[in-house]
Amino acid sequence: MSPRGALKPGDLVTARVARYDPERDRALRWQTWQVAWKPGLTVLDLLHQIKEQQDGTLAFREACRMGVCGSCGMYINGRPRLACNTQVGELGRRVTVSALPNHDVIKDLVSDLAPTFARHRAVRPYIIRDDHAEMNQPTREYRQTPEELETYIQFSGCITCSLCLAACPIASTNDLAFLGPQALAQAYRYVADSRDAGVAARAQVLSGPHGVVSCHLAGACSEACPKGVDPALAIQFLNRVLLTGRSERTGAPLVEARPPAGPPPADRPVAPPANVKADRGDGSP
Amino acid sequence: MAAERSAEGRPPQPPRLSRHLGVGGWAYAGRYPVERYLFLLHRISGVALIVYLPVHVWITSQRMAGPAAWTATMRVFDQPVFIAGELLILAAFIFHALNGIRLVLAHFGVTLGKPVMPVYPYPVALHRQRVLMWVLMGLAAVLIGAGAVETLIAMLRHG
Amino acid sequence: MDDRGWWLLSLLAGVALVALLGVHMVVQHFDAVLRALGWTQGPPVRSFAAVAARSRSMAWGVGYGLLLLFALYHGLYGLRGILLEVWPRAARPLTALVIAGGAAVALFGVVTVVRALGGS
Repeated sequence: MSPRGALKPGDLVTARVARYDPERDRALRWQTWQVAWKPGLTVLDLLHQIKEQQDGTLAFREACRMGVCGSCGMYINGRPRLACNTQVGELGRRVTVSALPNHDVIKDLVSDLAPTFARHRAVRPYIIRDDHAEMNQPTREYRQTPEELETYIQFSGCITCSLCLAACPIASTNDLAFLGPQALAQAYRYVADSRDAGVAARAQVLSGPHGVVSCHLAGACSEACPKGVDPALAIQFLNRVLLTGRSERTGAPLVEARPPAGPPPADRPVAPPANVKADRGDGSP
Repeated sequence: MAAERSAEGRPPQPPRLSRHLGVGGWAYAGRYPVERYLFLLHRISGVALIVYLPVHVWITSQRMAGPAAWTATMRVFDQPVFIAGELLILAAFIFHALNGIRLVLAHFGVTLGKPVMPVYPYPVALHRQRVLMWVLMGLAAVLIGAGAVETLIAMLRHG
Repeated sequence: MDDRGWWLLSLLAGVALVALLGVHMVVQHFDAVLRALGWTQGPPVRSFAAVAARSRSMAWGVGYGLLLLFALYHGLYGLRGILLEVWPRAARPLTALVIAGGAAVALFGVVTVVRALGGS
C-alpha cells in the first residue's frame, strides 16, 4: 500500500466514486473529482470535501469518524475499508470508492446493512443463562479469570461494519440465510464467554447448513476486519468447541443452560391492585 | 430482507441495486492474499475430480469385458491428449490433498495459535499457517513435477 | 445427524482419501519410480494381466471399494455444497440428486469389484 511518490500538501488527488441514484439510475455510474491533499486526509474527509464544496448530492454514511461505530464501510482501492480509518496518503494519487460488495446499494456509497444485522440476531448475540432470579435481582458479580477473558475478548471488538461480509466469497451468491463471518464470530464470542450457558440454545443455527460448515477458509474476512476480530479464527474455534464441548482456551466443559422450570419471574401474571379499575381493553374509561 | 418494520403507511421504496458479485466473487473480490486463491483452486480441483470420477469408474469397469476390450480401450486413452489430461487430474489431486491437509488442521483450530488481546497491528491467524502452506505447496510442486516427467516419458513411449 | 455431522464425515473421508487415493495415484502414475526403487515388478501397471491380478486380490478389492465410497461421498458432498451456494432454495432436490447419483455409481462400482474378485 505504499504510494508511488509521496504526496505533498496541495497535490491533487483524483477521486473516482461510484454513484447510484435509485430514482434515476439502473446501474452504477462513475464520477470523478479532484481534491487537494493535506497531511492526515482520510477518505472520509475527502468525501466530505466533495460533498461540501463540489457536489452536495453525494450520499455516504458516517458517524464517529474514528473507527469505532462501523458506519463508513466502503470498497476503497481494492479492499473493503472504513473510510475514516483510511489515509489518502497511503493510497496515492488515485482513490477509487464504491459501496460495499455483496450488499445492496441504497444510494451512492450507502449500503443496506439490514441483512447483516438480521444474520447477527439469528445467532442470539447475548449472554444466555438460566439463573433468572439472580439475573433479575443480582446479589453478586459474575467472575471471570484473565484467562477466561482472553478466550473471547478479541472477538468482542466487532463493530458490525460488515467489511468481512463484503470480503467473504461465500457471501457473493446472495443466499440470505447464509450467516457469514460476522454472525459466526459473534456466536463464538458468546459461546466462549464463561458467563454464557447457551451453546445448546444456539446449536441448531450453528450446526445447521449455514453455520460452521459454510466456512471454507478463504480468510479474506480476517484480512478486511479493521478491529482485529479475526472472524476466521473464531469460526474455526467455534467448530472445535462444538465438537469437544470444552472451552478452547481453558479446557473447561461448556456450561449448558438447564431449561427453566417455569416462566421467568417477570412473565408471571400479576393481579392488579384492588384500587385500580381493570382496563376493559376497548378504550372506554 | 427488511427487519421488523411495518409495511403500512410507508411510501414505496426506490429500488436497491445489488452489488452481489455472484460466482465471479469466488474468483475476485479485492486485493486479498494467497489463501483466498488457494480456496478458489481447491474448489476448481475438487469439481474437476468429482466430475472425472464417474467417467473413470465406467472406463475401468471395461476390465470385465475381457483382455481384448481392455486393450482396445487402453489404446484410445494412450493418445497424448488423454495422457496430458491424466496429468491434470494428478495435479488436481496432489494440490487438493495437500491443501486439504492444511484446511483440515485449520478447521480444528490446530496451527492457528490462540486468541490475543486486540492490540494494533492486529495479527491474522491464517498467516500463522504460512510456513506449513509453503512446505505443502512446495511438496505439491515437486510431486506434480515428477508426474510431469512420468507423463512425458509415457507420451514419448506411446507417441 | 445434523449438517455439521455430515461435514465432519466429509473431512474424515478426505483425510482417508489422502492415503487411499494417494496410493492409487502413486501406483498408476509413478510406475517408473516404483520400478526404479524395486517396489514393482512384472507386467506394465495398466496391462490386462496386471489389472486382472489386482482385481482378483482381496486387499486391492477392499481398497478400491473403500476408495470409491470415500471419494464419492467426499466429492459429492463438496459439489452439493457448491451448488447450494448458487441455488440455495434447491436444497431438497440437490441433496436427492446427489444421493441418487452417488448411490448409482457406488452400486455399479462395488458390483464390478465384487464380480472381479470372483474371478474372470
